[in-house]
Amino acid sequence: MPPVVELHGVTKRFGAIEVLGGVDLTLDAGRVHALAGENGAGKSTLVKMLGGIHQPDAGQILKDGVPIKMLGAADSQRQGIAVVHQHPALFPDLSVAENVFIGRQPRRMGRIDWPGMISRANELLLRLGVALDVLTPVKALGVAERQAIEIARALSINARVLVLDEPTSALSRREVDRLFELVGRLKVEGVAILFITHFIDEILGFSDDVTVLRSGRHVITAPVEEFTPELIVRAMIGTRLEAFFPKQQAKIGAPVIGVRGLSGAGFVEDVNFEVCAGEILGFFGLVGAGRSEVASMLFGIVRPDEGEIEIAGASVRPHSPRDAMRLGISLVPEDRHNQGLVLPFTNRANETLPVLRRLCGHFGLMRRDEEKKIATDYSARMRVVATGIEQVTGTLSGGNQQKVLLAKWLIPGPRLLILDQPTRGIDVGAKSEIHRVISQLATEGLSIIMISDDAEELMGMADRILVFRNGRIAMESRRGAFDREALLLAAAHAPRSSDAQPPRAA
Amino acid sequence: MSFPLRLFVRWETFLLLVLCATLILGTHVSRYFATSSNISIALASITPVAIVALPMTLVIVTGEIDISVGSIVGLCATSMAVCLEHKFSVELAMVVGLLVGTLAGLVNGLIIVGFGLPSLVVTIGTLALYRGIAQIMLKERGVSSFPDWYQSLGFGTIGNGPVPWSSLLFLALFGAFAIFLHVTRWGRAIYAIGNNREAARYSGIDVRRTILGVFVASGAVSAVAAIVLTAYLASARSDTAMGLELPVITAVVLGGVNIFGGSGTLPGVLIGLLVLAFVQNAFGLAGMTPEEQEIVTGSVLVMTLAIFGLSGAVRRLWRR
Repeated sequence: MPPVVELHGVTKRFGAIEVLGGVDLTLDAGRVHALAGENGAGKSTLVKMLGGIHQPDAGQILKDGVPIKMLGAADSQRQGIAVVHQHPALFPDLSVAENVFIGRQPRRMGRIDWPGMISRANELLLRLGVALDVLTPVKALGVAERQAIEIARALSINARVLVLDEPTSALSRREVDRLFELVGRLKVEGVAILFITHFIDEILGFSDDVTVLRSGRHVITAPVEEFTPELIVRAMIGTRLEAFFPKQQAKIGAPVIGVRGLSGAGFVEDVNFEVCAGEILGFFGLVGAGRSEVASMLFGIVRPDEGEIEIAGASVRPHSPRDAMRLGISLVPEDRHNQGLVLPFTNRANETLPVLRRLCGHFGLMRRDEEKKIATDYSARMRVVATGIEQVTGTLSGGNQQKVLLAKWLIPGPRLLILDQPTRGIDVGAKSEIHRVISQLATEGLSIIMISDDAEELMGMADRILVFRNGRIAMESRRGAFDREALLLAAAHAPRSSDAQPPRAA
Repeated sequence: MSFPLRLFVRWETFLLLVLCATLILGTHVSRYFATSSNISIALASITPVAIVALPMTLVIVTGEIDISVGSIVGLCATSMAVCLEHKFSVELAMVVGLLVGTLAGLVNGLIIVGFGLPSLVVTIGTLALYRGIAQIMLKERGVSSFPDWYQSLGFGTIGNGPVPWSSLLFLALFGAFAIFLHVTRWGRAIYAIGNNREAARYSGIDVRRTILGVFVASGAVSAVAAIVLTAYLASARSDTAMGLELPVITAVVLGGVNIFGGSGTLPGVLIGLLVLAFVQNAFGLAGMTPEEQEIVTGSVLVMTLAIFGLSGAVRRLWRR
């Protein structure tokens, strides 16, 4: 019997970047196949390919041994492939039954066959062992129940392949167990399951086969019995050449900001740390681990439920970004396009946006010359490559936009600079320039919090790294004692197997 | 700001051509069109619209809209009329009008900012609310006991030339608004909010206070328009300025202000106002009724939006 779905050497490029290069994957009926890899390894591109959103540039997708082409989500459904997302996109005001059958409502004489739809929805949920009133509007349900609805939808199209895209990140421990039980039933019915997760213990506990991707390449596929947590992590990170991080040793001074017992933003709990002058403190963790949430609490975007923030010995409570700026905090936000920059503005206007008040004379009139001078100065310092300060920021490359954003947040002259994923999605050249600038700033005595998904980047730049997991600090590590595997394990919640020594490259 | 600037230059050129075409067409419609008294009538009749268009530009650039301006003008006119009925001086009536307008704008702004509601819906509500209050206050009565000097605000011209006094008032306000929007930090904040509210907030701009401010300005300046309009009509009724929002929004959008916020300039709006004034005037001379002119104004608004929408669509296609 051929595998249900096979991927043969699939390749996908976005512009010049190859996000998947010749990847093979085989999904067998009645088996759970786990897909592991760091952020940017190509997992989500692969999922989108199976979902019909992306088409491979090269390679083939085979269904029951026959090559197929999928040109959209509808095609993929027709092929019996169902994708369950981390945050299911359902219609909140419609009932459970309607969501299960959306777009395919059973009809009778041109109208929706309500009794039929209700009884079939009940039947499906019963098969999944989920007790839900099918007439409840979806907005009244939690994430776990919404995922159950997506799985029921998969059942209703008689899906033979179920793709679970990081389904457990938003679930509690008990809900995860329920999900696994539910997926277990489908497995018994002969459905092939592809399971994407960051959590290594879930891979080991739940899957039958494991494939690891790294930088868009296939690394290894083997039955789960052949893996230990360390082996998976090592396959994920490989033995890459150390990237060049021009870390300059800065003199670390007195604490600038202290945080005690910080809780809030839904799930951040009891976070404690301090940052000293000249220090770069790294925040590492998976997406949604609470790193950015701590940053938004410091910057006055989200109010903490509990805890104390202390700057220069005084307890403070920033209620707005403006408050935070007055306290000497700058935040380079994660989302450059939505939170960081006004893209139709010129570089000049973007860079001076936080300091408009300072650039004003009488009656709020802008002092143009001073504005130009500051913008020119900082654009030069950040080495922004543009036709000048009057170029529209939206027309710059990602790397140069990031440099404009960095300039924007240095102009206020902060004491503490928070950088949320400052090098994400930008090219290597701009990346190393930004690293150089960050390092330089630390030597000038600035305190820096640097948030990143890239353990290697933090190991290159930071003096200390805090690892976040589920809204808490799971581990702290100092420069000199940085260990990639330990960082990843702490972030991904895998218990270290006691017998296996962390294997060193021979 | 080269992006809005480029758009403005192109749109401004186009508008100037349209203005010329209108003027040429006008002289063909009637010999009377190019006379000093006709130009003065055209300018005086658009002035209340032009005055309200100034704060409306701010409101729309911020990404909001104020549909209730006509009703605010009506409410201010009614308040002044009631003052005059009670034998208050006309100066006091004007002060009361200004206060009422500011208060109406403040109420709009507080509801929008305080409850986080869409301004379109809120101001549709207050459009009915303010007009209703005016109708209860003044019923069917009309008040026309304005002193002569007051009426000359609406009709009188400078040295009996073609330029009405009210246009001078408008120009002063225009200068103030243009400086505010294009040269001060508050103007910069307004563009930032209209383009990207989230980034504005992350930059330490007080988004809510700014939005509140533009709605208060809208109310206060509507009161000024009420003074000019009652002077022009030499009477105040509860239905004064009914439907004023249509030509106001038309002129602003015609002037190149993006209906979704973030771009547009006041000089552009000025040309838009002139085009609208002379188009309406020419059609009036051609014997069109006010009702038929409504159709023209409405069509101009929809067509302008369509051109902008189309040019956006074309640009997106081009990029592909």
